[in-house]
Amino acid sequence: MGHDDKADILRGTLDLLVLKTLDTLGPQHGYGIAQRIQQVSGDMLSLNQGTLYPALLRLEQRGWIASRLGTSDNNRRARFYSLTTAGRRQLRQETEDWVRVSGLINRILRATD
Amino acid sequence: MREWLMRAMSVGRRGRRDRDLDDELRFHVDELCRAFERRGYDAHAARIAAERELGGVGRTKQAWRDQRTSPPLEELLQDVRYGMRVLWRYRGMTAAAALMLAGAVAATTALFSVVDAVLLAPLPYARAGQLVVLFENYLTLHAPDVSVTPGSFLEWQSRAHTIAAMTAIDQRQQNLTSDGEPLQVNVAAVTRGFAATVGVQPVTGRLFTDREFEAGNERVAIISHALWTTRYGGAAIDGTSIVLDDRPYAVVGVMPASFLFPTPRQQIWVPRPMTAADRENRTGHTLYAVARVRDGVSIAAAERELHDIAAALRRDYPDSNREWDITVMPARDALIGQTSDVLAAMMGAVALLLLVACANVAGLLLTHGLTRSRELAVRAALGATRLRIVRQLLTESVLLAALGAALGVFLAWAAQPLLEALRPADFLTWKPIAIDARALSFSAIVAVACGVLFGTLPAVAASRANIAAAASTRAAGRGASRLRHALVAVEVALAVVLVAGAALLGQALHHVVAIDPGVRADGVVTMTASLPATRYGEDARVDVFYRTLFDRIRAIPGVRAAGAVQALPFSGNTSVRPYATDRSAPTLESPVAHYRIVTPGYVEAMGIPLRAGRTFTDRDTANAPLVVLVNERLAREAWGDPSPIGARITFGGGSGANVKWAEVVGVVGDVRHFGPAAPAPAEMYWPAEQIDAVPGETLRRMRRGLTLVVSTDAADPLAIVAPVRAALRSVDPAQPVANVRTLTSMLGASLWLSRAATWLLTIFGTAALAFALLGVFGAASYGVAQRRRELAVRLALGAAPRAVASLVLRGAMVGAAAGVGVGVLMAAALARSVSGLLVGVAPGDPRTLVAVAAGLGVAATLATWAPARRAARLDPMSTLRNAD
Repeated sequence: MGHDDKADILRGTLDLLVLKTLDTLGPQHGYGIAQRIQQVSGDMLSLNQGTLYPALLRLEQRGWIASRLGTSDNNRRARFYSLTTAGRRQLRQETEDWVRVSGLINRILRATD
Repeated sequence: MREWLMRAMSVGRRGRRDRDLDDELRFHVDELCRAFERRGYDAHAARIAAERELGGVGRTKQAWRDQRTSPPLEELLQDVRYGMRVLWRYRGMTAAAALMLAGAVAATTALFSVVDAVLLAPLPYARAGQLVVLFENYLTLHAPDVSVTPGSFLEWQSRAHTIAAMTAIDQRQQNLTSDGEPLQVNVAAVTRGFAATVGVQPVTGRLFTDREFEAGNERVAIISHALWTTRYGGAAIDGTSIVLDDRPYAVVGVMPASFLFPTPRQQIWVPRPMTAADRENRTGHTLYAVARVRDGVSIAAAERELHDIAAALRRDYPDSNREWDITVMPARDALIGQTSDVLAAMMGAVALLLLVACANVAGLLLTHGLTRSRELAVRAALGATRLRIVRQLLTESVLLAALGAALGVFLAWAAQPLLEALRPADFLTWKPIAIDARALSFSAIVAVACGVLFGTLPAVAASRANIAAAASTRAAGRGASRLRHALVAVEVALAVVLVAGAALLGQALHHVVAIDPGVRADGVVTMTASLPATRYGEDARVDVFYRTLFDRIRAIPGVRAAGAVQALPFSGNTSVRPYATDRSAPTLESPVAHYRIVTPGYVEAMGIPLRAGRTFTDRDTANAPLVVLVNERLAREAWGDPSPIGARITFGGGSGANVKWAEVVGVVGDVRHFGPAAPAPAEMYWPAEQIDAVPGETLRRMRRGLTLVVSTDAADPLAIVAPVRAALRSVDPAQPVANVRTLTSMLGASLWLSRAATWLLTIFGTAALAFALLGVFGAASYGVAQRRRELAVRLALGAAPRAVASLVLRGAMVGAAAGVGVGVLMAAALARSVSGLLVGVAPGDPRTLVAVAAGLGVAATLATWAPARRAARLDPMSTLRNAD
């Protein structure tokens, strides 16, 4: 396939990316979130954008994000997602975990060099 | 957690959110399109690129839906919905199967409610599992449940370390003469340790203090909730005083309604001080002992320690304790006795009935699955896996079971008043027999288990048939047909077991009812009167009371005879004593006989036949020569002589050369004291006025608490009660009577358990028989339908219709015959294990078993008759032309 150079998104990291995006952009619709993640990753991530929607639903079921209907820039009805207090707490927690784990992995990788 | 809750709640709901998703995805794709168009794609290429970027709209939706609900749950719901439609489509089969299951589940649930109340519900005491009842075990006599002596009890109490607390109970009948009509009440005099043993607090007031267990301070009483509400209207008890046997007691507390210690009939508790004399008394077996095993100690460990203590007592006090051990019995066993065995047997029987119903439904579903083979083949062709199809079919059968169970629970609930009406007055429970949450959960479990049980086989068979369907429907049909014969065999076997069980029990009951109990029960009324020691402390006063009373009772028109005894037949009470007929006084090793303290007229009132000599008269007074009556068994055992008139016997009164001898003046017939099912014990009768000649304080007490027996020729024996009561009042106005019963009802009560067991088994057996015959009929009919073509060919080639009919008959009878054979073997084996219930019938009585087997064989033949006839009357031409 033509995507060999792109990293497949790790299961579980998508949730973190979505939470971070909503934290940065404020309330946003699914399309907006997808665009933002691709932009920020510099198109290095192969995000199958469809996988975003089950993820959004899962986060909502866990109470980390909330959704309501709104109007997009071009005046179309769209569902806007926003971070809840629990979601903000979760983001902080996951960010810490991520930093710790990635730091650890980096150290191991350097050590075996 | 929250996620799964929300997902479960979304199962089966197609809502706004689903439509919103369509909008959301359309918006996403449109935006992507615009982005691609801006990059120069034409409209068509942009849409293709956009959809690829999203990863497919359909796939996204599916993934979203899987996240929204739970796919397994969603599928289950689908199965349930579909299953309900199937059950509705095949209403006839559904109704037949559900009704059959309903019958079996109703029986199971009703019986479970009884079992739960008797065997499973915890006793109304704190940590009741630690309570044990202690008896003395008289090794010489193989009597494991003898009352305890005060001396032994106190030794146990001071020596046992595995026991946290123990209390001894002295059960008395006394007269409550304050606040209204004189009333005979059941009083339990309890020793120190009562509170710690039972661990129950009064609803009002307090338990006894330690000081109240000291002699002289014991005039305090705790009353039962029932007595409190009926006699005192539930009023405050402060300062209330009651009069028991002419002595005042201050009421200090009221126990809760659930407190039934040691029996449900207990009305008053008073302290029983233990005296120095009690400490030395190791021969008067009068107490009922209850102990609480220490926390963390097993009953088995406590039992071991108590056996060691009994061994030590045998060494320390050889004169009194040489032949005695201790019996430790969990409190529940002591309370319910042999009821538990019968209930366990009935639960087993009802389980068999349930199995027959399940096998039958399985047979129905099996053939039903074949008629649906086309539908299942379509489902398989559309990609349903075999597991999926099995699951679908299993869901259907569990649904079917649930339907049957719901119906069955309703039936059981409706039959509840009947159950309550059938329950005899003294059937012991401490929880109402009710279809409650526990019974409902039990039925639910039973329903699911049944559904899986009867569903698995047909489901697997049907799913296999469905694969085979493409190749050959007939081959699959033949496999199913074999399975169905196997099921029929199971049904018939279980039905044989139940019917044989009912037949054996019925025969045993018939046998027992026909046994002459040794008394003439018709027209005999009994009642108890206990004379208080305060006014009847002197023996002479007791004698005068009974003489005057019976003179007046005999004067009542309609009275044939009247007398009194201390232990009535069929009451479960008895007293035993060693005797000697040669020179010496009896020792612990001497043979023993049961004794009855009677007044003149008792033998006549009970209709006990006189075989030789005479019965007692008013001349057998305290000052007259000592006399006894013996029954035939004792005459045989003691003297080997059916008529040992003039022989002498002693019970240990006096000593050395001055042993007090009594002369045998008469021989009476044997009485089956423990009910018609148990053999008559060796018995002797003593005149109440002469028992001073026999040592023992207990005898004095028994003599003041005799049971009056009045024989009448009135049509309604109970009509005699009012004049008897009046006669009693005229002798002593403060003297109540209680426990008025007819001897017939007591005799009936002793047979109640066998009667109930027989009825239940008869009902279960009949139902199982009906189910099994339905199964035989169903299998034969199905067999004929399957083989129509083959049978038609045979007929067309000239086979006689009779030959075709017998072919069908033989085919159908294979399963039934195998079932009968296996069933008879099982019944014979099982009968041995319930031989306790089968009095007078040889376990596995061959004649009964053969009769049952033959009966079932004939019934099964009749059940195949119609299908066989149908086979013989097939029209070969039209059958072959219309066959598929």
